[in-house]
Amino acid sequence: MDPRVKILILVLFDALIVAKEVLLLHVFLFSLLIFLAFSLQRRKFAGFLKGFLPMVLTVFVIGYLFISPADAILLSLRFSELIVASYIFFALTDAEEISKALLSMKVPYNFVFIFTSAIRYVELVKVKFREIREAQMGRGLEVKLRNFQAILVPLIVGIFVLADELAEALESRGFTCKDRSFFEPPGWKFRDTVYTLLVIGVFLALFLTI
Amino acid sequence: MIEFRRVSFTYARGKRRAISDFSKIIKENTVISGPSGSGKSTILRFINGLIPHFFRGEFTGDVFVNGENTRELTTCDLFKRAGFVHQNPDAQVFNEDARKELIFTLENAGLPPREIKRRIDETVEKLGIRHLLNRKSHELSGGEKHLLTLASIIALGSPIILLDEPFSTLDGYYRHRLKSVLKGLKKLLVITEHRLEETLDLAGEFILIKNDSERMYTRDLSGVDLTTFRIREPEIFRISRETGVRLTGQNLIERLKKTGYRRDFFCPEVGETVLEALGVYYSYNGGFSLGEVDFHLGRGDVVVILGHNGAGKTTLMKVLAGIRKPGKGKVLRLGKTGYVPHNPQDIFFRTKVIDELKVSATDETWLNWIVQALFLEGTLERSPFLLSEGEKKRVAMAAVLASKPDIVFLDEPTTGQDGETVNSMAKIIKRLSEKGISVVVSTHDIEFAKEISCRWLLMEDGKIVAEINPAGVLYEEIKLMERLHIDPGIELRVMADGSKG
Repeated sequence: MDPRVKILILVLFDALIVAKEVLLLHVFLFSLLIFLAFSLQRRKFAGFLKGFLPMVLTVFVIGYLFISPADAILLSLRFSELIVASYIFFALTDAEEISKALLSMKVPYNFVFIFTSAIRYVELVKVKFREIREAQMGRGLEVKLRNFQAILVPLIVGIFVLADELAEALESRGFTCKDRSFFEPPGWKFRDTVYTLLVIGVFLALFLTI
Repeated sequence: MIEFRRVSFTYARGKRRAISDFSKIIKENTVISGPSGSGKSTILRFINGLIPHFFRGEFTGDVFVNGENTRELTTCDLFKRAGFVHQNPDAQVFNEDARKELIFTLENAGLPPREIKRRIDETVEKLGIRHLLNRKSHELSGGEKHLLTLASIIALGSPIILLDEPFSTLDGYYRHRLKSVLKGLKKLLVITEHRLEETLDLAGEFILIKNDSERMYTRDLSGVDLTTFRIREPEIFRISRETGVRLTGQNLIERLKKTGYRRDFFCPEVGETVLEALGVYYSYNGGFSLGEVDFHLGRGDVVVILGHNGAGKTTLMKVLAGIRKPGKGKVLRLGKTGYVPHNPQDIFFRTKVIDELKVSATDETWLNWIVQALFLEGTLERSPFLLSEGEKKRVAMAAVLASKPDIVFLDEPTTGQDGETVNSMAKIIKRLSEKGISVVVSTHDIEFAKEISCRWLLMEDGKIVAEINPAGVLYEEIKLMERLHIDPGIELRVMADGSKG
């Protein structure tokens, strides 16, 4: 499926979540999304849930205190749906596909490349963070909030050094060439048109009937 | 052919000349060596046009690549003529997996899809790296990343290949792989390297650099006083100088054996036990990284850990140092521990060296001793970030030693360092041992290991597979080292041959 169709589905889904306030619909959507996410990535999603549960609770408490218990439930359901829907979108679409979608929307190649690289280097920064924390422990420095600069300074310096090296290496590999070719040009297939029409039809029906 | 005509350059960011009045014609494989910061990488950067098109600065003179002036070409023209393998493997693999990485370079060159496919097939076949194609980039080792970058340059067909300290971060296996790939190429290679022994059979000519303006060109290194270039003498030259045996020809080992050749090792007197580990097991993110390891360490001992990248050397040291908690097993520490990371910049966060040292210092007299023992008197008021690579290593070491540990772990202290720095590192380790501090060192550098220790641990896949005393090394142990791709070099082979029986 073309990533643009996926983006369309996500946008329509989010619109439905925001526009409709029928409790039954949201109970259904919520269960559906949780079920989908779990069947896609059981362990990863469980880890993700742990991180985002406190956020949902906060939303619930705020709703409970400032609006009403019924609204609090609806609010936290809708909030969770938005998050889980995005989670599923990113689980099904890799950085490569997003960059192809951007490219086909005529975004310049350099920007798209930087965007996708940024996603990939998050992992590298995480590794670097751990290395620095352990290195500081190696000289008897437990890093706490108070002396957080002991991690922050080496981390920022490290990122700058890496960025410099990356820029130089990219230049050496012809990244700035003007007449670049594409091995697999991003393409829209006939079935993508069918998907699009189908998706629009289904959502139109949902919007009109509920 | 590459020609430098009266080239001088000062980086826009730099204060002093990086290179002055350099004229040279490079027609055959050339190795450039000299101290850190002497301008070795700078020479490579002229050849693929990074200077002057990417690095700005004051540039006089001209550089010609196959007859064309680099000033009149773009980096895009030049990357097709001269491919560049940079020093840091992590900073030159940009895509999600190996296949995309190869495609990326060829796309940049504007090749049509069918041609891209053909060239990738041809190259992976030639280099024997087809198995890498579907691997994710973050799962590749440093050596695999280097091979991949090289593959993309070969697929592109660049007639010149530039390599910036390609061997420094690699273990024995990948050093060997890379060397044999390079030897089979019909390309003009220009390589910078501190460890000349890796390049002896690759180079036609050597360019030895002292500083921006003093240089020497030679085809034959014997008789050259390498120490004036802060380069460590390759083992084969050292032995030849010490014994008077000629270093060329067959049966070198046989002839050396007849002279009764032996060498001395540094075997310190070892005191009471300061650390003991029993059945230590460690795993990270579901992956296995340390088997059940037993280990003991006495006061003042110096232990070297050898093994391939990913064998678990760093993990073992971190677990022993108390930085990581073992999943199973026990570590008894009867003294204080310190760990010096491979990258010194991982711990710097102060603007002056002296403040950096005071972060965990407890005792003024001790601090003074360290400053003097690590040759840091001249650096105290300077910023740790602006020091030379060798100084950075010593400051990081001093910052850890300041907390007065009984045991210190050094993670690859000589990787990428010039000969002078390696020698001073060996001196420092001996001094620490004499002070009663136990030292555990991980390294790929056998010459360095021979200099500092006579207790070597060999690691493979998270386990310690052997403990060796190089002073009494056995024939089977040499065989084991060879199997683990740890090159024992010449003299250990000579000494072990006696134990063949």
